[in-house]
Amino acid sequence: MPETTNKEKTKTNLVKEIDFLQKKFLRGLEILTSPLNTSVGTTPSELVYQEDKMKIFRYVPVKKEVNSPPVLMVYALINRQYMLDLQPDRSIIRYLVNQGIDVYIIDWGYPSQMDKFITLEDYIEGYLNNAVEEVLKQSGVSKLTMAGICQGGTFSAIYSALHPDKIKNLITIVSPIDFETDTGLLNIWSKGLDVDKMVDSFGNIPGEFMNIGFLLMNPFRLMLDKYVGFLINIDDKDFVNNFIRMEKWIFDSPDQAATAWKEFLRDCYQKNLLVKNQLKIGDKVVNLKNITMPVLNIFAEYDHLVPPACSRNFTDYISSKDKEIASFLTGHIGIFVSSRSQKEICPKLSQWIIKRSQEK
Amino acid sequence: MPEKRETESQEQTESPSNPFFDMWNKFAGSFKSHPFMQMDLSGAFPQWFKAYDDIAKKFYSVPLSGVVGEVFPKFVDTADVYMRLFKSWADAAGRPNVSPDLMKNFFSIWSDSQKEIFSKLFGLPLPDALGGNIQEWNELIKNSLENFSRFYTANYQPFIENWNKISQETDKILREKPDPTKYKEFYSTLMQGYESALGKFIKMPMVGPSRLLLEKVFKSIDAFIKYYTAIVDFNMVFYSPGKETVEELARKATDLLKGEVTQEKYKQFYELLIKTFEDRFFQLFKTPAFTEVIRRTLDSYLDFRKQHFAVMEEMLKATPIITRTEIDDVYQELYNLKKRIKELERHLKGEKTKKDERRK
Repeated sequence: MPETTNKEKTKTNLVKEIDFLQKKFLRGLEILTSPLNTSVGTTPSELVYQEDKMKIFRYVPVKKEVNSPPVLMVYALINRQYMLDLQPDRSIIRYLVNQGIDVYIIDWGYPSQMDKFITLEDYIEGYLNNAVEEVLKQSGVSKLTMAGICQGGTFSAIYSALHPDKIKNLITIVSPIDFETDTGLLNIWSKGLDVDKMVDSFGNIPGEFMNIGFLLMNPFRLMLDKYVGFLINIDDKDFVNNFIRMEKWIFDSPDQAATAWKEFLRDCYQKNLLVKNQLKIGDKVVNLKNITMPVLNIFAEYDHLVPPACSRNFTDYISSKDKEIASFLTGHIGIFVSSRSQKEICPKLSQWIIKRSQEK
Repeated sequence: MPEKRETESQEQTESPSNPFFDMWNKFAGSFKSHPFMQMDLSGAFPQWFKAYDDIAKKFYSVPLSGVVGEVFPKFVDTADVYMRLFKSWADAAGRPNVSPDLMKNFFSIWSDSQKEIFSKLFGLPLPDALGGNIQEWNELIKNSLENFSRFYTANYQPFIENWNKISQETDKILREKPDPTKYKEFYSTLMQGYESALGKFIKMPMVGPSRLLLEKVFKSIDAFIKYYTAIVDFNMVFYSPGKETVEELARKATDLLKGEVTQEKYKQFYELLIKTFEDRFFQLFKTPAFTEVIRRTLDSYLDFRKQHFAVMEEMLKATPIITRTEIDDVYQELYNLKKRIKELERHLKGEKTKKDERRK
């Protein structure tokens, strides 16, 4: 084709594109300035326990009979637990509740500088243990199912190893257990951090600082491409609602209590003590071999925050006979909000829980 | 009298160039060329005062009297002496090849001026014990100048030389094509200059009642300079990969952008751009070199932050505002008390359960 014709066509295409984008953008502005539905964590729940900044919520059952034992969801200290209930049509919590599962969740709250001396022992042997005791008391059972997400899964594994008598089933979802890997940038970068100096200077580690670290892991996708995608879909109200919800969650980053953060980084990311059965919580040594209850370990194949190498092998370190690994072709966040989440992950999770709830 | 000394000083034999006096010469020269110095102001103050006095007598019919009448003319006279002294200094210092001998004569003028001022202000000649032997004073001044000159040459001169080198390098960098190694050399020269001269002064121990504050201030300056250099190193790491990625993208996109450019083709180009940058930078982020540079940057930032806050805390001590160290003490105490209360509550609960069981 002659070059002049190509140039003319390109010019025509460009004019069309500008016109198209202009209309899209103006429609987008109309959407953004109209009332949006960006509420998060909308599944009905009630506050059943509070200790300092930690709160436990119980989701209101939709069925007369709920499965026993209850499930206690343990989220990470990083970001907020409503990721599990981010949007009504893609809510893991709503799905489980609709299946008749009795779900409790821990909200760790927002630590202030007053909480900078809280240790890992305080979190696990204090708050988490009290949460377990409270849920057991309220539901009248002696054991519960603990489901830990991300760092919450690491806490759940530690707790289950320390108190196997209180845990009937353990579920870990995208949880780092073996920190020795060169496939994850967080694992690589954290090796060189002077954690003492960091808490000395910052006190609590600011959520904004953590966010910079997460964004730096994939700056072109997270700081550019994501917003290009937003502009492309700006005229789609549902897309805009969900995008805003996700933005809310991503940058809703509590500061990290200094002492606990330092211990977690040093003992887990830098020394990898958990899988060596050398991690100490207070004066107790955590031995993963003490985990004998049924375990479901879920991880994401494209997880860049907790690479599969960190989570896949958890079941190799435990004594449970009933143990299952389930991997999904998605990323760290996709586990909770991708289309696979509702089609594959939620059914897998609820079936596993219900089956083990019926077993004596 | 001072005028005579000035003439004498002009007759001095000019000495070979000396870095210390060269510096002084430049400094004084800049004053000499100022329009203010071109004006002949000798006698201007007494003349102004005389005129003011005449006006006051005619207008108010009240002559200046009492303390004002006595003291004010003396101040005006001493201002006139200072004017002459300042002009002499600028003349003496602002000529080529200033030497200790030349400056010695200037200080003779200074010494005489002090005597003149003293006698005009108090109506008394300067006592011999204070005035001393002018000859001895002059020798002392000459020796001091020589000592200063040696100190300057050894300590400050490297910084000036380094600064000249930096100026040349800056000029070169601005004229030539962008080159990361040149930038690196530039900042390394800057850092060397700082370490060899200015840095030594900043790090020297302080004495006196303000010792603590001064040490903290200087430490924070030192930490800032190191942080700034670390940021430059951090930015430098991105230069080569960025350039290579753009070249790679250009190679890959050549075929794609041939012929008519459609919306679809542009989307492909955009996806290629993001993917190319993402892949290349992911490789970079995984390298030990990047981990090291990120560690160093963060370390130097934390050092600077710590020193900066230490200065702020010193400042806050003089105000009724509580400092972070003080509030940390309160937080630590609160944490300990809370922990103790929880332990006591647990203990009481245990005792109550035991008591209830005994009753049964």
